[in-house]
Amino acid sequence: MMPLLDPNGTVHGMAGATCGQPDHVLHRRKFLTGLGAAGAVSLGSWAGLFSLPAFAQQARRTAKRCILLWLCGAPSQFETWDPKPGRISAGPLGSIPTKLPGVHFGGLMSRCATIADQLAVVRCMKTDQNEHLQGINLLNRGAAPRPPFVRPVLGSVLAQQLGHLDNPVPNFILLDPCPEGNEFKEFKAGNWAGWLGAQYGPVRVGGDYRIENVLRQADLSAEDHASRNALRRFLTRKYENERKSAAAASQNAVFERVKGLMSCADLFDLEKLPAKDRERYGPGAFAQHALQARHLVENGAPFVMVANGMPWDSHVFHNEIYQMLTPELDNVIFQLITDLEERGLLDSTLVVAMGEFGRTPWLNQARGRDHYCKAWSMMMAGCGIKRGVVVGGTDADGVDVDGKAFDEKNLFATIFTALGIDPHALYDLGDLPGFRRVEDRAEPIREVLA
Amino acid sequence: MADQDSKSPTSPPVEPKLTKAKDIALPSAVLALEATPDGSTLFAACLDGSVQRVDTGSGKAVEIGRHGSYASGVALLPGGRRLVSSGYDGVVRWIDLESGREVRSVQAHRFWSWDLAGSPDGRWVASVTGQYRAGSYRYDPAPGTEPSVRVYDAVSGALRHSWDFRPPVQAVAFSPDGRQVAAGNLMGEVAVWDLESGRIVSQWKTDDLTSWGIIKSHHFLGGVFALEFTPDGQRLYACGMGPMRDPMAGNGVQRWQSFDWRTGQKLDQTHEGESGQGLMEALAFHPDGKHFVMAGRLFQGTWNLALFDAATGRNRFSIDAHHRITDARFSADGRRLFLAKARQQELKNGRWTDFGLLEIHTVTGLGTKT
Amino acid sequence: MAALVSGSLVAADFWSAHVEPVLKEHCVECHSPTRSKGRLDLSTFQNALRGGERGAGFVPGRPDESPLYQVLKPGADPHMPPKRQLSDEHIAVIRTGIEKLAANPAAAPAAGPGGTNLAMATPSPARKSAWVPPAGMPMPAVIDGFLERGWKARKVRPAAPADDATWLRRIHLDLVGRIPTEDEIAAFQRLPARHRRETVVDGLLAHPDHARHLREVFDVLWMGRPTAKTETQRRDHGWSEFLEAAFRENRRWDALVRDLIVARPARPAERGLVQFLYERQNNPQAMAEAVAPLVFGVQIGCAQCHDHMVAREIKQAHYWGMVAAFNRSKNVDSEAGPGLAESAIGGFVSFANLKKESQQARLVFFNDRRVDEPWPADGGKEVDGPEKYRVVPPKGKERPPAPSEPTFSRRQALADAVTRDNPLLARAAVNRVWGLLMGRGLVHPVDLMDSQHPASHPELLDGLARDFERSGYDVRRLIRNVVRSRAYQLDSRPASGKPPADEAFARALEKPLSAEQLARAWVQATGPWILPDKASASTSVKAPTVDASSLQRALVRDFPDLCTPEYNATLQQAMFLSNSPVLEPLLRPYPGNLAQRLKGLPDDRARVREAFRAILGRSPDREELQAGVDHLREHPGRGGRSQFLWALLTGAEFQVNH
Repeated sequence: MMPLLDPNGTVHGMAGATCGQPDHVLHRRKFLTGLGAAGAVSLGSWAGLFSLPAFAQQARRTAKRCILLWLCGAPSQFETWDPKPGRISAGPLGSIPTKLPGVHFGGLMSRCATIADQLAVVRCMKTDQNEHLQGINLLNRGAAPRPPFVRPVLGSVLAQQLGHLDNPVPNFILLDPCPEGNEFKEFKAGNWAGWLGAQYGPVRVGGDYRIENVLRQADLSAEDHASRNALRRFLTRKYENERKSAAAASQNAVFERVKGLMSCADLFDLEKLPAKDRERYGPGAFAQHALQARHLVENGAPFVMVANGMPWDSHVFHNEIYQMLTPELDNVIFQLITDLEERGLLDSTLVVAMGEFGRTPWLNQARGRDHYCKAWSMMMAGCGIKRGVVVGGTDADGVDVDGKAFDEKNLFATIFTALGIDPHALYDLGDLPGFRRVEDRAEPIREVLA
Repeated sequence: MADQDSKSPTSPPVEPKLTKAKDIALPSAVLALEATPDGSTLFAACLDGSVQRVDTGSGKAVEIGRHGSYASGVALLPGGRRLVSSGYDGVVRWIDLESGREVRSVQAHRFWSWDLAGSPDGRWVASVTGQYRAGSYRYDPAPGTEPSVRVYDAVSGALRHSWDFRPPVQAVAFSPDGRQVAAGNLMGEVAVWDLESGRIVSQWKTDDLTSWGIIKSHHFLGGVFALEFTPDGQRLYACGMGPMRDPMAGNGVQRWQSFDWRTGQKLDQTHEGESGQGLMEALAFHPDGKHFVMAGRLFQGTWNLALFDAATGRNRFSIDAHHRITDARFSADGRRLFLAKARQQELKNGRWTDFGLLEIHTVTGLGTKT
Repeated sequence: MAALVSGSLVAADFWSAHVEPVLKEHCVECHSPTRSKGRLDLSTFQNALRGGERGAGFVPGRPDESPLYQVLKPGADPHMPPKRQLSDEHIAVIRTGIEKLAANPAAAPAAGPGGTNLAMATPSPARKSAWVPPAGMPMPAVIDGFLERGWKARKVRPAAPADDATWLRRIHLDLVGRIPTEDEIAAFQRLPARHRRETVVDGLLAHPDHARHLREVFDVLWMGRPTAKTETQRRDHGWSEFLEAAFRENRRWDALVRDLIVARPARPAERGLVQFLYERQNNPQAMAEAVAPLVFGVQIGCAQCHDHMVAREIKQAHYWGMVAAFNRSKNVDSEAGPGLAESAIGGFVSFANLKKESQQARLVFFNDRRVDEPWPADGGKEVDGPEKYRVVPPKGKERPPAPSEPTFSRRQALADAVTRDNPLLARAAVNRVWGLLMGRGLVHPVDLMDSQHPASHPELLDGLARDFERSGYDVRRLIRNVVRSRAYQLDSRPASGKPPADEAFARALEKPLSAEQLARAWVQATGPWILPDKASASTSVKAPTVDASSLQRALVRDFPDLCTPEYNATLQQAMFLSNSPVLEPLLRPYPGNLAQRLKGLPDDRARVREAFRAILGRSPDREELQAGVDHLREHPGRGGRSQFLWALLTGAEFQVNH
């Protein structure tokens, strides 16, 4: 376990650690006597000591959450947030005026245009990784790799910061039905939680990634189900500690979730969502999962990442794909933001929509746009974010950023600050190099912070 | 079985051949093209929205019309006085070629015009539209929100037919006798309507021109990109690319298929071993009625432009013409082939280079039309 | 790592942050582990410092005396890069990098950021040359020699040797794909102490289960998990049979790979080998992508649309060259059985990328070998004819007696180019086998042996590869050598507090059990499953209540992975283990099985001991014994016992090969 030190010295994330012999023994006995009533009580966790309903309710009100709409493949900024009407680099989607005077979005982003006063758009992103695998890692981890250390992805960091370990709903959920996806598939098969530890890895659902085997065997009582898992956990923990076993840690981490999942499996069943909501969001997988993400965060998930393969990577067939993807994204953002606002949750929920970079101002000879990391756009809204602001810009054809540019470190600093998390806090990883959440004291994008 | 191509019964069969004679650069990619029957003038619908009149002799280009977005279709009405153009602004324009002025402008669609055709008898003009929108979890296309096939009176501009056909409808063609019109969409569905009655005559689906992206993009891609009736009106040809697990790379098999349009029965398609991979976007029949070209992009293979024998379906001649070909037309005498091309867009020293091309090929080894 | 001196950390940090990107951009194309012109590899800090055939490239602190710095200047002769000139800025960065090396020339920047290739120690030019194993040293000692030096350089202590019980379980899982039976354990204990492990190893290598295990593993690695249709096809076409026989006979690896590429079985008994290509369904790209990891140890799929963006030595031409080798081939159901016909003409293709115009796909391969083939002139037509064939294709559409074979076969040409005089073939095989046995390749991931993935012990990899070649590509011998090393026999518990980096191989690395191993192990551990009307002295006779094949099928669904670069247990797996009905029959008493035996034991202590022995192959320690006894006391009866078994069977210790 890698505890994280806040500047004021509070230690978090120690749940379930074998801190010393007496704790360990106490821990085990509690499990063996079946004290696993409302979810696994992790005595090492300070939050677990206060599992009173009143506290839970208050925690929900003050709890923060984040939805990441991961537009893998890299969406074109020209067709979304930074159109160039009248220019040769414009593309066929045109542009439309938005609620913000002087601000245009891509022509098929008509619904977002009506809520532009709720959104924050950054048009001056500039990063240095132009290939998918490197870009996906960069924009999910917020920093360049420093092997052999593996920096946790955003979801893992927020799962640890915003979640609590006795949460029946997983703290980090990935909704993506696409089992393939070339580089994205490779990323998905990698180490997401890095130095935070396997318990902060994602639970993956969507399409054929279903939550099955939800029901306890008929002849097994709840108490027996819990006690046998307690015994399994005790033995596996012992094995894990003796061998410093990553495999055992990974297994324990997923088993920790079983009980909680059994109690909230319905949250993952699309069929259980109201038909009207499903219609409103749209029938496509991405839209349905965005709705599900809202449902999950409303019910206690601190971080949900929504993806659907890598459809934005339009090297060939640009118009043909974007005519379909862009309106879906437009509607999804619109429904999500307005729903959250209606439910009084927008102030405590951060919504981020981005890909691993942008796309070229020019069309290639195969009728598409290629990768472009030198100038691209992304969008944020909600918790800690100013409403109705567009930061930065690009030149007339979108070739270069005009003025100040921001990179992945600035972006992550912004996300953490917006969620009330110290971006420059130090990870305590023993005698290894000191890593901070955001390196180089990179500043958040002040212009979008509320 | 070799064709006896030459007119003289005693001369040996000659292999058909296409030889590039000339190319004319245009500022912006050409998405569609028309040619006057004598081949002296070409009309290019370009990506920057312009419609250009190009003199094939001098290579000079003059802008004669402009759309608010990509210009995607041109049709020259018989008589040579009127040109109709369409674009992604959904507008269909009539241009008087003598005065150079726009005669009429009709907002045919809310969405893009994907293709435009004019009937050979000069009576009709058709434009097709349709936006691909998510219609299911798997991204089957949602039903259209406007009619996707519109047919206008070519002379008066009056709207004569509006049909709903599953969007996006990407290709349209008239039968040579001007009595039917065919349209094809993303899903490989093709329909033929009778222009007098306004009713569907036949409808079928080919699964061989569409992909569902298993690897990166869980949605549909591809479909029918061009349609052409044979000059004798008996068959209908469609082209696109074959299905792939990862169609986003544009690596499906280069493919045409021919159908008995009355029944929808598939008659033939590109023969195995005669094509590589890449999207095919253009079909054009040679005036001799016995040959046609198909053209598009080369992903892998030996050609992106090929000439086929319509009776046998065999590839008679093929060439790698290097750039993506979006449209093709023969001159009326069948001696020349005109190609519309798109190149890579480039920004050099702050200036955008020309990335459109018109190409003229001489056609040899085929009979000429009298 | 604790001994990092700040000076050397700064040097290594600077190198990886600033110098390495420049080298990667401009130099690594020709100076990488897979292509080392002048035997110089610039892909990592350590390799760059080591230098090439002309000696060390960099003199710490003295750029003007560093040969590799001198060649960068304009007008230098020789000049590097050959056709380009690095910018002044880049040259300055390299200069600074060399200067910083002076800070601590003797220190080895061990597992510093950016550098994972740590076999050799100091960069000082004064250091002696690398350790060369003495001639005649047995390979296990060679392996240990290199690894030990690596431990010293990394300043890590190796784990203690694994005890017999641990070792016995491990060697069985690794060689025969299952845990040892009661009899095998007893037989081991009866053997004289000296050489008992070697005796077991030799016995297992000769056991039919060894061939079955290798067949199971390579079937998944090479062909992927089958669908219902391909599962039947692999069986019907004789693929499984062929593969298992190949391992049973210890067929030469190079010959085996050659046979798979050529796909012309010499004997009817080998007809199954065609399935390797046949199952790719006439897709030459799929064939190329399957063959490249086998013969080069790299994945080339990324080079389909453009030169590999990061491992620049992998070119688009290499990808399409390999595709061209297969694009004259087609599946055919001949009278001699299914096979791959090959045409004598055609397949002259060009490929395009998004930037350039098209180029011809010549028979050029990643190992720089090329096969010259006359191309038809532009517009020239090829004429097919029977004279171009050894086995002539049929005229019409009738079923041919045998798949057609041209006199010049591209498949044969490819096979020759990549399985003869191709050092990468041995490296790829060695890396794969090492990975299977040691839990991680010397290059990790196993099939990414490109310039971006340096080996953890490059001389060891070289040595093993050369030995493998010289031995006649003897797989069994390679396996035997690896498992006889001391390093293979280390325990998985790290020596002291902080576990060493995996690539040090300073402890046994964990390997999660595959679905096949798990199904077998579960059935065996909870057995014996004896049919009511006969008592069997040997193991695993299937009982009516336990369906091993449906257990395996269920497991394959949720545990499909084999040798993934990263192990991630999934929630779905935990849900399966927690709630699926599939396991329950194993836990219920049945005449002769473990659950039944537990019932009959006198007390809970005895029950706990027996369960541990049968399932984990060891005795419980005091804490575990107490925990088990407590549990059984609090949950008396059959339910409590079956829960106890469940906890052992689903625990990490059982699920993992450690």
